[in-house]
Amino acid sequence: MNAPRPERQFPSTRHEGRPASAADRILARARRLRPSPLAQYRLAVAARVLAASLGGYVLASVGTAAAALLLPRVSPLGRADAVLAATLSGFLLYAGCVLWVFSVRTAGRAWLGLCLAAGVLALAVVALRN
Amino acid sequence: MAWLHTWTGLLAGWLLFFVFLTGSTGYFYFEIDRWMRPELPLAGREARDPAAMAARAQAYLQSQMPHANQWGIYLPVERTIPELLVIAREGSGASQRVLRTVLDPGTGRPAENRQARATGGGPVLYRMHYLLHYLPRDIGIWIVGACTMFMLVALVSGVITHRRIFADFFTFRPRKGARSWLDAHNVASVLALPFFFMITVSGLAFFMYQYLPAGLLAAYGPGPQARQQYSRDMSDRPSATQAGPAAPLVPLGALVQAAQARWGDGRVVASLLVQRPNGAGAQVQARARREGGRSFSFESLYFDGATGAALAATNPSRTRDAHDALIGLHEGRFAGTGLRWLYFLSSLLGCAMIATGLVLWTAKRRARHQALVCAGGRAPLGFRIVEGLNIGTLAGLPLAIAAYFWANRLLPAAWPMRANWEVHILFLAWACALAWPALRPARRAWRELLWLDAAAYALLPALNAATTRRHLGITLPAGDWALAGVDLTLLAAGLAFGWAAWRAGSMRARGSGRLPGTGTRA
Repeated sequence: MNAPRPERQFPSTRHEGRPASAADRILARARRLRPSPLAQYRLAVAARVLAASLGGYVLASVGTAAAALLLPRVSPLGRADAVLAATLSGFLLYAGCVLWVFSVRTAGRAWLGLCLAAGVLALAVVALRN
Repeated sequence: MAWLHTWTGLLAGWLLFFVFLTGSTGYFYFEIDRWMRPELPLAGREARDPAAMAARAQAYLQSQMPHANQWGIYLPVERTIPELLVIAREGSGASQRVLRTVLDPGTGRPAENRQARATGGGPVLYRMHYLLHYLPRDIGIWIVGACTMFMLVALVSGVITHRRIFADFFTFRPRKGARSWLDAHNVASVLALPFFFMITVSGLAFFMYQYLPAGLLAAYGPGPQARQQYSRDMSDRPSATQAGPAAPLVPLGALVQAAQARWGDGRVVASLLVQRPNGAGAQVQARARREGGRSFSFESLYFDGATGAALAATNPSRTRDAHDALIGLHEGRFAGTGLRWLYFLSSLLGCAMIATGLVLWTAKRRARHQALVCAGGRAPLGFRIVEGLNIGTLAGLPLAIAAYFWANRLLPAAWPMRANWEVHILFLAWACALAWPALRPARRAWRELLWLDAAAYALLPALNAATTRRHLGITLPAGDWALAGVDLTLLAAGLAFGWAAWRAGSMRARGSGRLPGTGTRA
């Protein structure tokens, strides 16, 4: 439940006590190409924001569609009632997704979770439509 | 969660403040509308018989448009309908003819002296809160919808962040910089928390299929036909049998009495909608007065238009009832005077919640930049932008709304463009207020705009007295509380802004720099 933080800390590129070899120099250059911790932090935040806004919307949409198709089969609700109930709940699902994306440990996990859930629900939609 | 709460709140905060403040005026949009048309007569107070008025309206419509597709008769029993209003539609598409007349409830003839200045009045002010006025309708609705989702996320994450929600509710530490703003934010938020959840979720329910069409698409498919099919499936209107010969419409006066007898609990008919009057399969829908009632939404009875027999409403649906209740809760049309004020004050608390949250953001960060500012430098650009938007919106938007009222009284009553310019002046005033903090030091800009707010609101009743015959000296003795209430509320707003401006000034005079966001002493 904490704010997103830089996900990895990089060891210092300076090696004390021995002269830099060619390999060390190449490694040092490669490390310089890596994003700085601040840039990494910003990338991680951007990844979460995208996951929450776009990923959350896709998941809410697929979830709403699945519920709209499933409810008439498992409850006395009619087709129109199911659409209405599913859509109203869809907004709460969306809000829940956003909160969840910002509560898991890394942005990667957030994306993984969203994709898995959306995939399962999308399969359900396809199955229910046939 | 604290991180999420801070940033969703900050990003959507200013627009949400706009939505809450202009939306608050919606609970009194009719009273504001009356105030903005001072040429109209004072409110009459005689009790009127709905059945007799319906009969007069029917006689008028029968003489003007007997073969319309639809008649609407709106009786002056709701607060928002001061006169007997009839609307009829004939034909369709480009050849459609619409008749819209205000009738004298006593005689049934078109009312005279209905001429008033052109004004957007109350409706334009409150419709801004979901249409954003200048934008194309769909875009405005989408932007407000996105901000509403931000609000929902900020509310939930705010509650999660806030572990000691009950204890903190009784905590206020004044004159402690950021901590005082945090306490004020907590109190404003918790006080009306159920209202904020209700207003946010129900706000999404208005245009939900525009925001989240997936369910509708999956079950009904794309296109307008699918949408129409959904509407038919959802409707509780009894299916009309259009077979059979055309028959004259039953007397509506008797039908009103029949409807009220069926309710049998003192509810009166507020409006009648007639489908295909004098045609085959005519149908009458009688709607009950909502204000002061127990139901959040419309309660209707259906009647056969030829025989007057009651028709059973078809298709009972708990889901539709729930949705109607959400919409009804948002609009608060059912609220009587006391509950209406509670709605209004809760919305203003929403404004206070957003405002204190936004000021808290700067108050927390100001201490960090204080050294830089003392050394003659400037605070970072992001900080200055937030501070400027705070001043220009939290103090500037109320000023803009006051300007809308001033424009209503000062623009020439006969000028054809005046209705548009009233709104232009609102947004121009807001633009000036947004520019002001760029030219002035933050503390001074706060104080100056707040004093300007105080003057703009407190002087409005005086301006009203100077320019119209609908001022407090007339409305109070006449007991016209709708008009007097607007003047008195404007005066109260002026006093409140005066207090805020005085506080802002006295904080500065003490020299401790603990003004809106001038640092923490913790």
